[in-house]
Amino acid sequence: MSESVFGRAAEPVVIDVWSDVVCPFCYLGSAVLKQAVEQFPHGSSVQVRYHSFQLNPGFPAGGAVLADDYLTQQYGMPKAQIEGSHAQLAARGAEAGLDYRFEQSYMVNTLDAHRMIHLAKAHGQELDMVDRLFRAEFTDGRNLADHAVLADLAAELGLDRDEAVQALTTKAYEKDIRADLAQARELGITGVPFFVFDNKRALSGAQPVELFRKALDATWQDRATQPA
Amino acid sequence: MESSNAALVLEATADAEVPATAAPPVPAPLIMLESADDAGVCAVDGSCD
Repeated sequence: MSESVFGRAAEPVVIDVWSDVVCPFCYLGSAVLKQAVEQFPHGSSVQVRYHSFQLNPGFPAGGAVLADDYLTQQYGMPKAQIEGSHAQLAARGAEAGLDYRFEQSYMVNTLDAHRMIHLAKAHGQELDMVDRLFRAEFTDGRNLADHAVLADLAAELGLDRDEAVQALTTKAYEKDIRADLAQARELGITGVPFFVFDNKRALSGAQPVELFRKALDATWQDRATQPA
Repeated sequence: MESSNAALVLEATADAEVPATAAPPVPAPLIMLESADDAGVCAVDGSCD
């Protein structure tokens, strides 16, 4: 990228996001971040990059359990408590244009879903894939451990279905996923969503849009004042 | 360009004091921004709060 009198401000602001596709707060955080970038006067100079993070990495590959049943079995959460927290999150989601249907969401091992994100990234469609996987999980009630479902979603985005199937059967992008997870550990990330702005400032959680805007403003200011 | 790169490689190889692999960069500590407490995070064990 060419330099200008504005120094590093001429380069895009990079937002690195760690998230998982079965993380309901990640879906919300992703949508709110998108709103913040759209509101940001320099939004066209922002690049968002997604990184893999796994909730329940020990969950059996290929298995699927309704998320509500999982919460009851794993944490002994009463049904009323689950419904209450879901209602709160669904209300926040609706404000961001999301349609949460928790009663049909599955808990799965998301390693294969992350393969699809890395496959899409290789074709410049990372953000579309992340968004499609979130919607498949939280609105459409799709099983993201099912290879046929994942390949169909890839094809829906215009990616080669056969290439998607091959990526799943050959366990492709393992190195990239492990690198994302290792980087998360290095940064001390223990929960998601987690957002890093220009490798300097960080936000944890599905924050209100105002906080994402503040982070963007501060990061832009950093760039404008730092020497090239 | 290619020849200057080759020269650099030769210099590095000839210097016995240069370690075979450089230490990985230590990431600078991140500045955590002030945030809302009830924003919502999911932990690695799958619990969300």
